[in-house]
Amino acid sequence: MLDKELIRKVALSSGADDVGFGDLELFDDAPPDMDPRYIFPRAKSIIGMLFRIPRGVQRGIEEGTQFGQYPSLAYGNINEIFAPVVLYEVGKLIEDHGYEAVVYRNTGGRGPVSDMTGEKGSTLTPEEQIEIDAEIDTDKQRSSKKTPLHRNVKSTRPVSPENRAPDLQFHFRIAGVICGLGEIGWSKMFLSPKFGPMVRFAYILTDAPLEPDPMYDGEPLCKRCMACARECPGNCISTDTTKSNKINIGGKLIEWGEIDTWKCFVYYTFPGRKHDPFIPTEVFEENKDGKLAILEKEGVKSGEEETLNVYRTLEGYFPTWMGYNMAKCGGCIGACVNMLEKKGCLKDKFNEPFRTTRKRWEIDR
Amino acid sequence: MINSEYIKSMAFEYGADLAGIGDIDLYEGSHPRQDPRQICPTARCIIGFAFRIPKGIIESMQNGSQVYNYTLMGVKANAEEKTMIFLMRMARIIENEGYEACLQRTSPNIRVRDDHGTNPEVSVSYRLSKSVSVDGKRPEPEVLLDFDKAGAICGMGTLGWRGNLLTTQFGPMQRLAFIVTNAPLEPDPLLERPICDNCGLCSEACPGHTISYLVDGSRYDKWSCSVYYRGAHRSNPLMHDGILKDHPEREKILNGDKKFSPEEAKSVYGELDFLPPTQYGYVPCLCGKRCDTECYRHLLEAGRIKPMKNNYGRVKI
Repeated sequence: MLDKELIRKVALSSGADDVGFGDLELFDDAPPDMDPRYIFPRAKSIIGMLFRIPRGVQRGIEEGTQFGQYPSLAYGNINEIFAPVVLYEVGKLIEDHGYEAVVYRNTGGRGPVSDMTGEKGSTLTPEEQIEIDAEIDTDKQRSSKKTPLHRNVKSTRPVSPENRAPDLQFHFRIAGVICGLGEIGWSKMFLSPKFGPMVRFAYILTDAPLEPDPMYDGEPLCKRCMACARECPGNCISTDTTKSNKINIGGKLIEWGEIDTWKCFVYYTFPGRKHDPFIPTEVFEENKDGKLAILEKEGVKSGEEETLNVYRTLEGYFPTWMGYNMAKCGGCIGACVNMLEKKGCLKDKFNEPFRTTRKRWEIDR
Repeated sequence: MINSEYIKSMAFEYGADLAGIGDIDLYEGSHPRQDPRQICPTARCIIGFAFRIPKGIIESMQNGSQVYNYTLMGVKANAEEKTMIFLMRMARIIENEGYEACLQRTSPNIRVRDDHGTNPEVSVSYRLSKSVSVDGKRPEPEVLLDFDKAGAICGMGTLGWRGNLLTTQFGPMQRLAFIVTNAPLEPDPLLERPICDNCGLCSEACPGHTISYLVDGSRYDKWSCSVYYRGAHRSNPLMHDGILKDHPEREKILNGDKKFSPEEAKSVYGELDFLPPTQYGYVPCLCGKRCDTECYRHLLEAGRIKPMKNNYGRVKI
């Protein structure tokens, strides 16, 4: 007999760190292009699985000495290898009991709607390497070609009138809320009561009838301390509480601050002269053809062109691995972990604090 | 409460073939860019794990019937899949106890600024020569552990003639992963007896003569290795007349007598396009990895290594 406890047990023993069951009717107000029921119309339940990013994987960025393990292990590995293995195991369990399991990993920005602009068509997505041909570093052996995550969704269209254009992607963080796994903080990062913002997700849509879990209704994890905004090297997160984004899911209000997503893209990978130790000072000083304007000057409007200008100029200084951009900023996520620990918001306690100094490192230049 | 025995028992259960714990103090005096304490200042130990390359893969390379499987299974699947899943599982055990698990997988495409060699296994490798310290005190990133040295510190083996780790059970035939942690685990002793007996077979077996007998100077020419690893020699079963046909030193190269500068090596990679690289850019090994296969055979015959039938017998779970 398939039930929630059996699914939970298999998911946890296979490697998930938390499991929740969501009510698909809570997607009623989602834009149709982000409604998972179009993927599997007979679905009765959505199962959310949460995977922690080990705190130690963030350690090198926090210390400013090692940056490559985080994108490889925490992004590439969880998305491409670890979560799919768990999805497969839980999917087999469900199908062995006569139900169908649409296993759904994080596919990156493959959807018909841009996760940068909300508009239809191809665009970039911050975690993923851009197809680019940079020739900068002294010992580079060969130019990079197409990335494993290359995509072109300009021509996507529905295959029938009652369908939506592929590949439909639903909002992973909102689905996490629906599955009762936590809440969304001011920075728009998902916050788990166990692991704070250090998490990633995978989901299963199934026609198995499973009682939904309640959404998280504990003490709010995000205290609106704005540490995420203060420590963002690009000042990409607004602290203006009058301009927040609000949505209502089944009576639960979800709110996050205004975020300059294009600027976040730039600073996530190339966080500027004070936070990017891989770029020599003279490159910022030269600011060749003004391509680094968004990093070097105030008031430059962010967008795809400015993002590509920076990317093309700096990509060769630190190569990617597994097709995921190097997360070098560590700003919002490090700040949030630090504050959640200090405010006692996290259930799982470490023996030593994440941050022992008052202020995070900043390059003096 | 975790301890060394429990960590090792779980490591074997999750798929490691060897596990050892190294005393972090043994890094005293090491180069800061290779010092795990620069990654995790509160580190108390480093835990090492080895994942064997199955003997069947070695044998199929030795008999010349299968050349691609080593790259696919021995290198890529091991480094990019098996160890990645393993590390995440081990992190859960350590972090559930309130300690930090700084996972250390290989970084195949990057090298520290002092490393002027290359990684023959991958299509692209960068030397991070321009990074700056974040505060003028800490080393310039990227801090990268020397995996071979770390394996020795964890008591899993000793360094061989060309600087690679030889373990007590698998000689040179394994991949490695590490966890730097502030968990207080009892370290293993260092191995006292060297596993390598300086037989020189690795040097003799290399079709490109990239491993030198000379005691002084560099013993291992990585740039030349990167060319011969890609199959630029007569013993490569896929070699044909069209390869390097206009190269003025073709005969010298195919005879394994050419010493390649970095520029010369990079200039011929494009011609050595026998088989496609795997996902993530691991280039196919077309030298038969003879340095390691000959080493492995010799160490077994000489009784210097002894594979155990199963590791679960080592520690009670």
